[in-house]
Amino acid sequence: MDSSRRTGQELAELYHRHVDTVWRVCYSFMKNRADTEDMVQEAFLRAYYVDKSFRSEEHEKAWLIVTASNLCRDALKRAWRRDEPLEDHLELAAPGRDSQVLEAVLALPEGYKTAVYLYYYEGYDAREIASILGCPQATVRTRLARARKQLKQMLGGELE
Amino acid sequence: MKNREIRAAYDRTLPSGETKEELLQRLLAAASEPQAERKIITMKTIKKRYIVLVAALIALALSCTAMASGVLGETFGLWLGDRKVALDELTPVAFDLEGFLAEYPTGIVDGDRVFRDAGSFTRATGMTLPGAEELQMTDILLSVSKRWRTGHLCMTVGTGGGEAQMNGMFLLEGHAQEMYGYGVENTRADEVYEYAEGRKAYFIKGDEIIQVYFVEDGVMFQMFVENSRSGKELGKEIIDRMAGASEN
Repeated sequence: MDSSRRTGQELAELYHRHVDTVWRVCYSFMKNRADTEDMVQEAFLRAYYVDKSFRSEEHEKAWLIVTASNLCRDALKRAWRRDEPLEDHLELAAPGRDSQVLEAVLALPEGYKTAVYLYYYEGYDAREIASILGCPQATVRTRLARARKQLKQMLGGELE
Repeated sequence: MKNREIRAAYDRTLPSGETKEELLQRLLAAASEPQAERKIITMKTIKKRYIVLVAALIALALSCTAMASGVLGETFGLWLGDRKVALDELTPVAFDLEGFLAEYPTGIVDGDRVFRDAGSFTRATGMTLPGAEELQMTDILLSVSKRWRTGHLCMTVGTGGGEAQMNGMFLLEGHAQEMYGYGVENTRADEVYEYAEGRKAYFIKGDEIIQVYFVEDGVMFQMFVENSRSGKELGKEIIDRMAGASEN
């Protein structure tokens, strides 16, 4: 997977392999479709231009997740930052429990979002997440514990 | 709550196949441009260019005002209805950036540091959080952008009777007067809570949570409490304690 000279075809294949993953991560930060599209596009362009070879599809995916997270966080720091009206994302789900869960996930503090996504959606454990994010396992556990606490506070019940 | 509910929530954000294909076409078009000239091509971006132009003019006006008043930033992203609400102005806080960088050389930009309590936070940063002695602040996650000269917090704040999650944002010396802040657009405040010396906090109710926006000691806070009478009272108590501490 030599990435330094990718072709358009290779970019399209990369996109098809990971667009759902990158979209989920970006949406969790940006909370609206238009900004998410910008961030998804930028993340794939970074992958297109970066002079880096990926060891595997998993490595490729992890790199894209971290890159997308960092792009979103940087965009939120520098921009006029608005939380979009709830209606903007709640229309994605039928009223009821589904919309509550989505609201709770999107309301998680920025610092937890990537770890929560990697743990609950991608199924990585704390050691793997620490390796991907380049931070101590203790930090990952702290973030997950606090996120779990907030989700419990907002939704009730226990996470598995 | 099951983990599958969390996974389903993420999946509900996914766009249609048609949208994904349109995005791919824009991506391929952008990738075909010379790297130095490439731009993200979306309608949103086109609209943003106009917004950026207007924002630049506003920033210029604010810059003039700021120089006159000695205040670096005076605008917030909190909109209620079609108007921007008048939260207190943000001024750069006392923050020992050099000391912080010496202690945590990689602890800026894309790197977070977690402090177990307000005391350890103050020792590392030289910054005292409002209400630090009146409230229990734990697991304080700090992210500092040297480039944008802003600091971002998230933490758990407890009164002894309850806990709330809070985000916070503050400016460092040298902030570039860009627009900043948390906010909600086209949203009506369900309640405006007046506390010490007529300052205001804005309560916006969701299905399950209430978001509360207010400013204390140069930090703009976004607080999350349960949408219930007790949740609202908890929010007010935290605000009161923060304000009390800041006035002492």
